[in-house]
Amino acid sequence: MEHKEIDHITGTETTGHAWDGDLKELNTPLPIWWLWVLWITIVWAIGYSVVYQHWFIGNKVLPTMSEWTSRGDVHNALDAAKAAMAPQFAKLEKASLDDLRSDAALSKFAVKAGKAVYGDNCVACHGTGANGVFPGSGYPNLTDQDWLYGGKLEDIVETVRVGIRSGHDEERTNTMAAYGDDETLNAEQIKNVSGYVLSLSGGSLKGADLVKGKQIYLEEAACNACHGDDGKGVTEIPGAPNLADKIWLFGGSAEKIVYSITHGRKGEMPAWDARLTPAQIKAVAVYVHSRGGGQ
Amino acid sequence: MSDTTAQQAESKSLFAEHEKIHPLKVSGLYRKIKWFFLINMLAAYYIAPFLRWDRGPDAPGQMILFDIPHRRFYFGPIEIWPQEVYYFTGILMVASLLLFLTTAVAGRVWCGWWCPQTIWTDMFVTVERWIEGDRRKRIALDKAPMSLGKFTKRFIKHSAWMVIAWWTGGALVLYFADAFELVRGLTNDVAIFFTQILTLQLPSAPIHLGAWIWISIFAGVTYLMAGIAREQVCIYMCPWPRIQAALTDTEALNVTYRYDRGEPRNSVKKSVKLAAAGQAAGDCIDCNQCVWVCPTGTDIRLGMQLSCIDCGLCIDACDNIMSKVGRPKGLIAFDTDLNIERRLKGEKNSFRPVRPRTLTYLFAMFLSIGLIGWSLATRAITGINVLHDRNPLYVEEGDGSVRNGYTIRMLNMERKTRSFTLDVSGLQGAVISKVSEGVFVFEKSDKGSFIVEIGPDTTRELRVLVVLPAGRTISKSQPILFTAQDLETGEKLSRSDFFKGPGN
Repeated sequence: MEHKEIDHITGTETTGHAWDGDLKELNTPLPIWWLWVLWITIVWAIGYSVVYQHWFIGNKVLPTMSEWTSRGDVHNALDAAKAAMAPQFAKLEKASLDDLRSDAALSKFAVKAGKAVYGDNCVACHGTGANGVFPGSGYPNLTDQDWLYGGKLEDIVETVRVGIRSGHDEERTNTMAAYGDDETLNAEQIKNVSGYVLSLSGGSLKGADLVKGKQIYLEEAACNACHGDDGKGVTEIPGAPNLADKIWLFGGSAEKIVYSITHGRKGEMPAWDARLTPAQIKAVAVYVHSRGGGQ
Repeated sequence: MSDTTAQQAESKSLFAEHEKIHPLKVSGLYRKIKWFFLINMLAAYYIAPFLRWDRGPDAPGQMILFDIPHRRFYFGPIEIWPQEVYYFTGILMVASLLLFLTTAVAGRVWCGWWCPQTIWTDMFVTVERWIEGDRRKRIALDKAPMSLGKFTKRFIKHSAWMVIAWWTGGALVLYFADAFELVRGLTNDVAIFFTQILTLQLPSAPIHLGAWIWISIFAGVTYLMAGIAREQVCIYMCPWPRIQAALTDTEALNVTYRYDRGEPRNSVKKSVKLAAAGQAAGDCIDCNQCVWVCPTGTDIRLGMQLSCIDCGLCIDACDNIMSKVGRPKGLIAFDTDLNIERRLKGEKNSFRPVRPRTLTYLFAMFLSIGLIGWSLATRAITGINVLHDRNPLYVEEGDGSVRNGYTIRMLNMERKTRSFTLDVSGLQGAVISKVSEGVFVFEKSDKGSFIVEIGPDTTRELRVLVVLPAGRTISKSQPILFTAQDLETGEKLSRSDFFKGPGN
């Protein structure tokens, strides 16, 4: 070992090499505690990867010492949450609306659970506010009191369960015929009957003959068979809308009504019994029912 | 460059190694005052959680309770909800003003007599003195090499400190749960632990694990602050000395070395000689007792300084010495520098505890107390909050009517169930069509108002639907007023919101 050269100003050892004749560098290595931290983290990393890290050789996953995974943690948490909610769901599945009304805790649970189910499954078509995506789009508003297939809790449960024109064995279905496409009515007749239908809710269509329109409504096209003589629908036939109110599932303008009569209408809603448990269906029905339109 | 430059650079270092302070035992008036506050404040601290206060069957019966899980704070007759934490701000304001006032009158007596840091440090030093002896012995013990005797003393001291620290944390957690129940629960945990140990079982986690964790945290901090850090907390950590420097004025009394009387310092014999020769001789005999008794190691003879906590122990020490050497007491006393200057000029002493500054603090303090009291006395024990549905803003019904949905939260801070009628006004024709909670629908009274029942000490969230019949012209948004009225007392509460429509 050569002799140590000490810098006079700082009292620190130099590296011993001189640049440009007299330029020297002080020898100030990393603090020892810092180095120790570095070594410890390296040792820690090796230990950590042995215990937790899944290494790969090609497609083969090597085992780790620990069974723990963060994914497993999530699953455990989800299972725990499901288990915690299970008794409430079991109770909810059997509860009637009257039961729910007398059980404040269960009612709160049903509305909250229903909101979650609604948020996961229904918002795409019915909107986050349950009022349809936008008026006249064919996606019904669930907050008003107008129900094609009934607004009682049991009706809503059934609709959610089997869907509408969903292909389910017990599907709810009722099709608006395409009077124009079927050539049952000509353009003139369609115009007249459209004018009559509009007049039921206080509207009008320029150039439509209301007398002829009424005759077509009651006789040629027999609209009254489903929609009723007064246009308010027939209780025995679910799915036929009230034409005398201001709510139009597919739009209430003259154009839209002419289109509906010409080409027919058949909206669809999937059946949910394969995707949701009966308790979840009950919950989402309770939530929808509580939005203001429930009967 | 020479070696001397390097030495000079070294001597300029501003870093000073911490010197351990070993306060000497002292007796006297101020020591008695300190004992008085120490004993009484500790007694209050340990007794307070066990005091009871009857609030009825469904409320906790503890006088002072911070009920975190239920979001309620209880102070005797006062019950504070989370939205009212500003009362704490008020209490802190009054406390600060009281602190300002005492500082303006008699300096940092808070620091010297009442501050928990001082009280616990005092306690820890006392214990240290019992075990290791007084100042001289403790210094000797520090210097002595490790031996069985030294280790034993140190071990006993630290164990004793830990026990005190444990009891400190143990009392603090009692303010956050029912004190009697928690004491029983903790005792039970200890019993289970020892049973398991004695039967050679692996100890299980205690039932009151949360309480144990908090006790450990508080105990650890107490041990660290009162045992290890001590006066360093006051000198380096606490903001109060810095704030005090901005608050003090020349009239505030402080522990003061009366240099007009003490200087020049000399030994007893020399000062007698000097006096006989007709030369200036001060009363200070430079015995250093005032420095040795000081819990923060302050030399008060250097004048008022940041590290002085105004406890007055140096006054006791100096008075004891002065009476021994037959000189008048009060060489160190609560005094002002202004008075020293006055005496040097031959003027009279003057103390002015009543002056604009103290009067201002006093006024501000009573104003704060008055405002808090007035606010508490008149605070609403009922509340109503209205939140309009965001989506949908409104619903058009088939008959042309328009419906708006609201979430109304009603709050009843009284300890009994109360019934309210809920009505809406401000928009011609608009009526409440339904009040519900989940699927539960509330009933209407004979007069057509919905009746809502709110349980004791709770809030209730209601879904309220308001309908405007068809044919009414309505704008896109119109103000509307919800009014709840207590059926019994007639107390009315209103909250305005808006009724939204398509606009026609």
